[in-house]
Amino acid sequence: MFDRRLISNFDWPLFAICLIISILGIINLYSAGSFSLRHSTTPYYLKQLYWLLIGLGLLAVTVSIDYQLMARHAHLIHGLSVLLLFLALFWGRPAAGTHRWLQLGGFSFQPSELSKITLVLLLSRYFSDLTISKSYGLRDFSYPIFVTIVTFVLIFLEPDLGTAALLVLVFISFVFFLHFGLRYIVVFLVSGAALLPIAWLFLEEYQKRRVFAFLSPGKYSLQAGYQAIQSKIAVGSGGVLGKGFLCGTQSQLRFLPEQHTDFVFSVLAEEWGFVGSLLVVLLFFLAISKGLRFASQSRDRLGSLIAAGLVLVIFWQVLINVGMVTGLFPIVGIPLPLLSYGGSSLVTTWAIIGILLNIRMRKFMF
Amino acid sequence: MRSEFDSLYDKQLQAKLRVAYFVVVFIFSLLCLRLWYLQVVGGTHYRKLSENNRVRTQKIKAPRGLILDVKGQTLAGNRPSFDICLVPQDASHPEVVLERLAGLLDADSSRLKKKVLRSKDRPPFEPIRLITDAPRDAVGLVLTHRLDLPGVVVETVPVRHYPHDTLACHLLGRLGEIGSQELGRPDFSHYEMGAFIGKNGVEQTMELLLKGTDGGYQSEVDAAGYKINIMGRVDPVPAHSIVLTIIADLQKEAEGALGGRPGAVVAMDPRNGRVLAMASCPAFNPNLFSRGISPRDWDALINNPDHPLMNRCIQSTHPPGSTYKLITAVAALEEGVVTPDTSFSCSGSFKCGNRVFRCWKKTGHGNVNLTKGLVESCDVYFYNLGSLLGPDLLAKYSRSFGFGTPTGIILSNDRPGFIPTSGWYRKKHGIPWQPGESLSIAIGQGSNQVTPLQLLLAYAAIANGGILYSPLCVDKIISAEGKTVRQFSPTIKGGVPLSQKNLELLRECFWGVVNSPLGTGQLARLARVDVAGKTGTAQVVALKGGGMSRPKHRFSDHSWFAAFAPKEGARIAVVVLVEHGGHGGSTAAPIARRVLSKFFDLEGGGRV
Repeated sequence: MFDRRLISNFDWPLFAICLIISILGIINLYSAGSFSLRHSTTPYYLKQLYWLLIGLGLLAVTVSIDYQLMARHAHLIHGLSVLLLFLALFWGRPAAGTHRWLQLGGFSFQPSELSKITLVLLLSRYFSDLTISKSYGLRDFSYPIFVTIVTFVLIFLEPDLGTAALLVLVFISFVFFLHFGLRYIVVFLVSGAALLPIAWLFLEEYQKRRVFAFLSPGKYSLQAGYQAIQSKIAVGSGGVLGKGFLCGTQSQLRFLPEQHTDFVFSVLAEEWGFVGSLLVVLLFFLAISKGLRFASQSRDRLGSLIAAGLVLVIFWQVLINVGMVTGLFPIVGIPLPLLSYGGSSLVTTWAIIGILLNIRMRKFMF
Repeated sequence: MRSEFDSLYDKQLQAKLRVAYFVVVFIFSLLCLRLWYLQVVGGTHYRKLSENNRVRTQKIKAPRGLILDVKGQTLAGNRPSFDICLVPQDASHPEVVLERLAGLLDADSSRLKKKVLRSKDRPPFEPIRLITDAPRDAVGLVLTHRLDLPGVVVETVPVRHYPHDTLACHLLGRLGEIGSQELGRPDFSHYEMGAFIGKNGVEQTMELLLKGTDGGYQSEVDAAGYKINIMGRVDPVPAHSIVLTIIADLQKEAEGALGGRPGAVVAMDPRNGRVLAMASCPAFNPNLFSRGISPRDWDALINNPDHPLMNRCIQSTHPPGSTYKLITAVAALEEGVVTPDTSFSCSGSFKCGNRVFRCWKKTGHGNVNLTKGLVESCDVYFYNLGSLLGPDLLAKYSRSFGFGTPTGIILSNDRPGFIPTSGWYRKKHGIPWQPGESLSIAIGQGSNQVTPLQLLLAYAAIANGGILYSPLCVDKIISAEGKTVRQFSPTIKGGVPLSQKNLELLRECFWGVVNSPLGTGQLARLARVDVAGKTGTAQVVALKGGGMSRPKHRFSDHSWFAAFAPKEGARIAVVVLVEHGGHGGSTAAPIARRVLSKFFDLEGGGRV
């Protein structure tokens, strides 16, 4: 199974880039999580390190199993994901009113993270199987749309608006890569836009407030606007060179809520300045371009679609999180891959990297 | 099968991937541009904002909803309180500032310093309350000298205020700091530690409606902490207000009539169960609790042997005395044990087994029928009924009049009281029911326990033709603008098993209690309205041993009086309990008279 050729095609640069980002993340968490030392026993950066090791372990697994094998059971695997989401909703360990986590032994993880991968696998499998006669008809979309909606609803009910919206974004942008007549794309966009007001009705009060706060942070300040304003101050005040490691006044004085999860980038930007934030953004860019390259070099359509889809998952998360932190988007709970504290996110992202490497490794195999 | 379309698609896919690459390049450039804009271009500006965190978020507390009487008079409202606080973030030399402040206000600087020390672990931009409810002069001094007191700010906070002090204090309730158990409840998820919530009465039951939504604002402040610029503001949302069913003027009269003696007066409209007054004495001043009661005041209240915090109308239970004869009469009539004309002979005593039970009139009443038995409250007549009926029948009728179950009023601590049965007796004493007990029960002594409100419901049922209502103390809920949000309507608990004929007879008897020359309740008579009622005197069981140390009046019996007026189509029913008041007719009846008189005054003056 472990062909010589495989290892030679292991893309070390991508691996290195992601590893560097993860390590920067841990160093950053040392600063961002320092306030919590009074409350929890194990500091955040240490926990993140453990999760990183687990993620690397999972990487080894996802790299070794041929992606074609994974895709063969894509429907089953996603079905498992959906089941886990169900369990999380009803039997999960509630945390602050949300039902996002499942407990297994001593670990708790978020099934919604897993569903990002399994949905992409399912969609890629489905669309690569479809033999193309002409353009796809709308009928061909009924099954994928159905699956996506079911997954969306389960995550939305947790409630996790951010991840649910992310899935929809990934789905819609994924459609771009399919063989699609232009008119269908227009139909899609129009119907998506039509769904927005309906979705609005289902938003919770605090979520609506967040949107208002984004549109005019001055007017609706307080919890929602406060985070946005504080984040911008933190990022901006980093200046060119940053305030220095452990010297971020906003984070050290705990003015920034959620600074170890959704707002880690603010801490990094404040302490390392433009130089630091630009570096991290560039690293992400490199990783994403690599992923796209793998997609185009893949030996079959399945691999291309999987790679493209997974790249989309990473891309949207980076875009939304950095955008949110810099005040371009309303505040939604999307973590920054590899940098935000969180075992599920870190491990899932490394699994994604693993599958990407997987596809790349097997580009010459027939 | 690779078709022509397939290879076409694959080529297109490659092209699409390339497009995607360029889109990614474009978007990431935008991100970098944004970072440039914030960090390089805006670096100095944001640096300034971040230093000393120049952006502050301040909460604006929402005023608590009002509680009004039925005419709209404010019984519980809000008043502003000025607190002098210190924001550590802005006070570079807190010790110096505190000394200066103490000197200015003639206060103890060490106390102030201690308060600051205690709040060390809180975020530095959170104000520490140094002096709460500061008088106007102190506030003026602080504001005039603000330049010398960097870090000291004056905060205006709305505080719960009861303009009539003790009026209706038990019905209104009081506030207290939220406890950990309450914080854990899901409907209290919006509450923070240190919040003041209703602890009893209407303040407690309607807590979620009375709490508004806090607002806040974000401001840019200067190095000393004073606002330069308000960046955004969210106004607090005022809460709903509660309109009660009670009439403030009637309530005042009821409390005045009790005159400081431990007891209760509760009045209602028998046609719908609306509570018109609910007075319990002794009372307390809920204003003491609004910002946290002092330990000294709390001890005084708790250690007071007359328990001022207890709402006697619903919490204190006593044997109903002769007012219970209503139940005995109903049971006897409906069970056919007697007719209105059946008479027994009262010689002043009644022998049962080897015990002699006395009538309150030692010389006896002679031949007594039902009317005479009720009007003159002959005990022997009812001893006869009691021995014929037995405890379980009496219990059945008691329960149908609402005794032994909570009344259904929305306040907490609504006690159900107690009605004895033969089964209970056997379990408790190990021997079967003693026939002598039936006699005590029949005249409302012994193990019967009722609250004043329960008794009121029973008599109201006679007044209104047989309907047992659940007492209603909230009329409606209105929005801050005055629009009715929810109107409460009467709730029927049940119907009493009483034929129309017997009901009318009983009404006549109760009229006779007050108006006929030998009636026991003549002190409740009113000239302009037909009052009907019943007196009651509940025996107080003396304590074994040690009882001698009680003041003399604490050996007196409890005084009851229940009444309704006018006799037909009654619009008010009232129950008065005066603890250790002696005979019902002498102490409780005059109080009922005052309350009824006031009610009809208000009615006549169009103020009801």
